[in-house]
Amino acid sequence: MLNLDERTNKYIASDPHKCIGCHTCMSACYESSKARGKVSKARLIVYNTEHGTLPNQCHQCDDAPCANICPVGALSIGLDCIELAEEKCIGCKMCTLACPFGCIEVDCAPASVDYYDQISLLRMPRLDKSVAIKCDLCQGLEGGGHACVDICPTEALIFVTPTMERNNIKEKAIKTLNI
Amino acid sequence: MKETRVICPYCGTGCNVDLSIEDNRIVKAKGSCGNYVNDGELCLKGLYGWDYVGANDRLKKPLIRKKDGVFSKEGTFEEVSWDEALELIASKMKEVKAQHGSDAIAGNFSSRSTLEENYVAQKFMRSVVGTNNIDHCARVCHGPTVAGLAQTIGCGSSTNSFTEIGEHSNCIMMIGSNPENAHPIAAMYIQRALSRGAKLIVIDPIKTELAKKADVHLQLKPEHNIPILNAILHHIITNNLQDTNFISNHTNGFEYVKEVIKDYSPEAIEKTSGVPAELIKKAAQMYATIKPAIITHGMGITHFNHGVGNVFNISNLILSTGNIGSLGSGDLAIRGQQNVQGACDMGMLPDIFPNGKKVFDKEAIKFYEELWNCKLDNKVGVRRTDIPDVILEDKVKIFWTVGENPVISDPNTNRLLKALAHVDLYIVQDLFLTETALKADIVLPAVSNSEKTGCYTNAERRVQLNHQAISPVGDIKNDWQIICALAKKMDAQGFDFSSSEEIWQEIRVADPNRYGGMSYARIDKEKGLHWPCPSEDHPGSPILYMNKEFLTPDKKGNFAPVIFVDNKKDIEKAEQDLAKRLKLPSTYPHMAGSVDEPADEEYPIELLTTRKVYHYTVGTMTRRSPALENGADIHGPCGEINQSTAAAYGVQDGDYIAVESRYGRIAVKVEVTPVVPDKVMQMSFHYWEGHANELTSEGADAITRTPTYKAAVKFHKISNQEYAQVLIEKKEKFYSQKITFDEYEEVEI
Repeated sequence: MLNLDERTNKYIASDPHKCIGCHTCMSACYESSKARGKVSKARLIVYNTEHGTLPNQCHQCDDAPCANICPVGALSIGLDCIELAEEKCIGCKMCTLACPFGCIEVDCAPASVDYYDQISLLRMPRLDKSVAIKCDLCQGLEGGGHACVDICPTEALIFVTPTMERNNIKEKAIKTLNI
Repeated sequence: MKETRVICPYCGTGCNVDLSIEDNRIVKAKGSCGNYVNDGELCLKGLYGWDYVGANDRLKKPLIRKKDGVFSKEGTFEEVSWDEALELIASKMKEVKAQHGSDAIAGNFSSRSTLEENYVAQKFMRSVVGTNNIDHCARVCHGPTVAGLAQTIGCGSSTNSFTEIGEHSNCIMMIGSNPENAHPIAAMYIQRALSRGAKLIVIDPIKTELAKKADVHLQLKPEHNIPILNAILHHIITNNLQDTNFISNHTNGFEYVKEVIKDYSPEAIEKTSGVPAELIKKAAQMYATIKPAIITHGMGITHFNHGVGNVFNISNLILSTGNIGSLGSGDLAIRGQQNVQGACDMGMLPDIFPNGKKVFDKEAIKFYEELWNCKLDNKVGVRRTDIPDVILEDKVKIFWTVGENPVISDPNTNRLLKALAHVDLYIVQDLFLTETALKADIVLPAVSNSEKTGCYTNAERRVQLNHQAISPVGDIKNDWQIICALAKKMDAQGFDFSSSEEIWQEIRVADPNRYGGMSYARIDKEKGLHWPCPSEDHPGSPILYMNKEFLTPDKKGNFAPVIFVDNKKDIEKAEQDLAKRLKLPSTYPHMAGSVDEPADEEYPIELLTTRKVYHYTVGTMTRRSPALENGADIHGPCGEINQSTAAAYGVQDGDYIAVESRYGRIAVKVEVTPVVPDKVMQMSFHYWEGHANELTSEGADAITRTPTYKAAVKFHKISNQEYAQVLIEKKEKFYSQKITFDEYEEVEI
């Protein structure tokens, strides 16, 4: 028997009604990726538009166009989410073209902080390998958890499991059916 | 691994942080649970902004500029012993004092230092040097709040706590306040209120994150607070929404405001400000009728030639509606640094003693002359904004900066650099060889907050004890130790302190009404105490004015009329006419204000300086943290303009531009954003390489001399090569020991 929780991917959702745009999730994500030996780069980006502010991150689509189109099998449909093997990624950007939500970019880790020397940064050749940057639900994070969700001071980020999703759907359905 | 609780070294919220320490290094920070300020939550700076503490380029020895082995302004830095550095300072101070008098020495101290250190510093300057030439960063931020609230409700500080907003306030009016960028944990409480169903009014020219969530956003033209707030008062008064009982029992001067606002109907103001009258009325209706209602205000109230006037208008709103003196209603002046309230309390101001009394108050002078066993000067000292002028006029010969970086943080950088090149001796005390320290003659290495013990007072008047978490590395000293050692070199008595707690005991005697009841043990046990706390059995005062008695001489709140004029030149006459028209008593508070430097044909864009959430003011601390500098989607130095301004100038997002004002020229990247109105450019001041304060004017509040931090500017597109060239020039300017500046002619605007 397949466990209900394994039938669809888990994902992290953000709530613009609660987000105050404090960017703490991005720094937490950066730290998590660094601690897990991945390319040090935030996997979600806080967008500040005319009508609201919120972080945007991978939806972990069940039939993910990024994983389907990846020519080298670096992106794959895993048990919980869309997984990325950074060592296989060739930085071809097919996934960024395929993603309908703007949740994947191809980039390398930023150069180390030396703010006295912004000029050399402008001209510095890229030293590191560029890979697809996407949310992997903090797989392998020591102590478990999801860095952005755990740190958000206003609970604007939520880790959604299929069970929670079903409950949400049920709640909405009952509300709109008005029975 | 051990854990120590410290107070966050960044904004004035005063969050408690648990630092994990391994081998005398900070390895992790997390929000402390079970305290009243942040209870487990932290923003990104509190969590990840600690790399500066263990940075390799921390100063470890005192430095003196020397040539051929002796002190010379033409020399370069050489490491020296503390004895040599302090001996040189003491001898120069004695020499200048003998030749030019005590007032030829000035010191700007620090909201980054503890209460104890600020107390010792002002005691040294007043009792040993003999001058009131002291000031700190409150001058460039909430100076008008201190002055404006003091004259209207008696005390220039926040009236309530942040947590109350989340739990009790049902209406929040944010005026020129952007805590989601500058004080995220304070903003968290506003968000909690919104989730609870509270109403939000935002008055700001920028569409801030919280403005997008507001029930009413009054997107006014920059520098048009007076007409908008007067129009809100107009609606309240003409529709009888005021609290008549409160006004008649607890206030003076309502009739002045009632008369003045007649010219400011929402309909009339719609025509001049572009803000729809309906929105103004809606905001007024909400603030007057949904209780409890609280106001938060920031630099969007104080950075004007009429900053005090804006604060007067906040008091007018509070007093007309009685929105003060209860849970969740009052005014929160959201202060920028962890101890800026505390530095003010300790008398780190040119006109105020540590007990809040004026320096010319005879009784106060007598009290401190006895306490400190000295003779005190009764002249108000030089304000920080005027320091470049008094140096260039040869009135100040020695200038001493502690824990501040004015080359980046103060307006009109070229003028400041010109003054620093001119002063006889410039002493800087800091953690790093900052853009400012590089221009000094003597640099003294200081200790950071996680390396010392002492108290800080946050923006809600809560006094909290910071515990030393790690040992300082290198031959460096606490600010209070440096000052005490210098005092001894100057043969002074009364500086034999051996711990910060000993200094604390003297503070309790020096300011008994506010701090008398707070011992280290009590502060620690009760997780912070709000002043006033006059005795050991006093519970502290989280909310001021609960008995509806104000701290003014007659215990009543004073309404203070404020008017707006079209031309800066007419302000003085308008104030005189206003006083005559209303028959105001001779010292009764009132003010007129205007746009300080209007955009014109030559400089058609209005520059507003703001903050970004990931950096802290001048960036000295936060720019050393990869998780902030690289992790938080940092866009670097940008000129933020909207699409229509960008189109009018033929530039696109990501293009480089040269921006020029009457005071300086810089280069930045264009960021096109919908949050900025037409013909306005928003810029942060975190970056030396695209340094907004090279552009800002010398405009300042007429009463407190708090800078406007604005300017009219022009800009044009430049190539990538030109941008790189400007960066090379700026590196020369800000990262060399030589002082260079551009001469701009002084102009009357």
